[in-house]
Amino acid sequence: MHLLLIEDDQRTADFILRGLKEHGHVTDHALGGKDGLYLATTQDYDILIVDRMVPELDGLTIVKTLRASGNRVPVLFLTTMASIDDRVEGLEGGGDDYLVKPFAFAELLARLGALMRRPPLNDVKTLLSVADLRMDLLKREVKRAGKRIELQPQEFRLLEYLLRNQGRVVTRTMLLENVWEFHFDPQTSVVETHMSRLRAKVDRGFDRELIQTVRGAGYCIRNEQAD
Amino acid sequence: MNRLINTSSFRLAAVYAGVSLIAFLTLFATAYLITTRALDRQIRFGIEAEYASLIAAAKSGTSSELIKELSERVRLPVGASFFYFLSDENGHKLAGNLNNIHRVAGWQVLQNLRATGETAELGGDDDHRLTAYGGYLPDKSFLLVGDDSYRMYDAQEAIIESFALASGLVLALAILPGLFMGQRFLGRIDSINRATDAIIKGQLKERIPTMGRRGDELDQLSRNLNRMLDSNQGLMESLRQVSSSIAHDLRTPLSRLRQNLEDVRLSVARREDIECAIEQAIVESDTLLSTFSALLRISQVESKSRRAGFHTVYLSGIFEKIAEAYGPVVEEKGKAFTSDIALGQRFVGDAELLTQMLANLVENAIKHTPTNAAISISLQESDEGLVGVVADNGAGIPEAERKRVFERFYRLDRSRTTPGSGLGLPLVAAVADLHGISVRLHDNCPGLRVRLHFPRCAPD
Repeated sequence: MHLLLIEDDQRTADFILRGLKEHGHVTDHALGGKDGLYLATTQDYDILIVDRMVPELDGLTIVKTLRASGNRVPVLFLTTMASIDDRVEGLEGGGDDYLVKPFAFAELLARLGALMRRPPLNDVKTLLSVADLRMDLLKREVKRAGKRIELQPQEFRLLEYLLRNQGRVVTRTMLLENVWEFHFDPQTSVVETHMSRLRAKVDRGFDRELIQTVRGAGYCIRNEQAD
Repeated sequence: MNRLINTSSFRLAAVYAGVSLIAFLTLFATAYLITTRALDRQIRFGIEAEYASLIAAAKSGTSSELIKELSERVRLPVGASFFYFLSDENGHKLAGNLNNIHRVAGWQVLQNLRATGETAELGGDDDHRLTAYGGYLPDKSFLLVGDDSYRMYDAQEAIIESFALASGLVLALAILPGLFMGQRFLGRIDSINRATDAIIKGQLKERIPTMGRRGDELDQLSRNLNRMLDSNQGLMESLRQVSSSIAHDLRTPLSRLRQNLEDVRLSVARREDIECAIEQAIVESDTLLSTFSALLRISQVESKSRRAGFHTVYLSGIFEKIAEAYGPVVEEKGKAFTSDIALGQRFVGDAELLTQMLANLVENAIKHTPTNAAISISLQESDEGLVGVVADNGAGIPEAERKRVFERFYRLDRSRTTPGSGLGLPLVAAVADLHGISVRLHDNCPGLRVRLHFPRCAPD
């Protein structure tokens, strides 16, 4: 992937740039808002990673300017401001996702993966499947190998989110935000408990486990075995 | 003095004085004009009558008869007599008590005149004015009758004097109280300034003196300022308490982190040990970070800026979501979970914060109860409004400590060993306060029963 990072803090930038390079991504880096906007408008990027607070032009202004000129490149905001107001403002201003510093690199990577393959908004599938697992969103029905599986509403939403992101790692935070709409970090094992219940229903008794745990990162639903 | 003149009460008084002065001047001008004109008309009537009576007395209409008549009339006492002048056709004086008069027919005003010695004096050096009427007789002789306008002068002088006196009084009456009130006002402002100066210099207990029973604007202002100072002092004290708690509570995990790292450096560890230590250090710093973000959250909620984003939320939905999310967690820990949620209940507020508030309460119940405990969550409509309850049958909180658990970092002695930051209930309190929700901790006999009373209308 070809990425642009707009971040004025050199240490954070080094951390991100090194990690992205290790994962085979080419990343341009702008220290200030003006350079960032210039690069974003003149080059073709897959994703922009934009810090909310950069000198010259703040991140929100950069993204609003891009969106006003019709540029639809996916944007991931980075911020130290853990406030919901900022998050809502950022998403309304044209950001696609939002990550609060400090973050684990796996979290950033998972979010970039989700952004990269995000389907266009009007292309919402009503039938999701992986291997022999089928999910019909209209009938609210899940079947594996033709056998019906009964799921609780939150288990259904959890499976739907995993299926929409199949093949990609989803983190615990992504699940909390998207499945439960929890924008805080629960002190108890909400995600783990529901995940193990879902696994018991989806994977137990079948020869292949579709839902896999990715150590230090999160979960992934995919057809092939984990390596 | 300059300060006094700049006070608002003095300025107001000055404006009043100015306005009344203008009103007085208008009144004065009108009275002056009307009186002068009336007196002038009266004088002229007198002169016309005298002139006509002279003409009538000299029946033949000749000057010789007039001479006789005039010599009679000039002998009348001072003040009762008119002034006369009679001349022949060449302008030579024939009779009368005036000299050297230009013969002009009709009305004229004569000044700087001297009467002849034998008659009534026209005052000493006074600048007398005569209103006079002259006319030619049939034999071409000229007769003039005049009257002193001193009555008019007197009246005018009287008017001017009385008005001057009255204006002076009005000015004094308007401005003196202004000065007096300004002085008092300045005195009170000075006392406010002294108090604020003292507070700036660090005497935080100082308050602005008030006048007591009389509640004028300044008193209200002083009282409001005092209330603001009270709340500021309270905030500063809680800030001091919080920052010392933070310093104290964060020292422990930080020193643990440091110790871990030092252990790794000192020991000749295998690769797995190092990895394990790093993992531990990351967990430790994550805990620290989450403590910080919880603190940040509380202070954001306490700043009340979130109220701007309030809207009607489906409260029953939030309760159900929490029940669905935590029910399995509770059961997995070997505890019983029940929920009883009334449907269709709405509330004006912030959905995200309400969710977190409820989650914190349920997580508290999960963390602080033994296995086999029962936890329940409910939302019911009652006479007083909506009531939400999170209850358990664990050890509960001793009554004496029920208030203190809402303080940041406060933890019961027996729960020091369970993981937690001591920031869960403070956030609950902050969110509840933001929404005007009252939170009460009750004894569930046994256990803790947290009762949330949602007000029917949105907080102001």
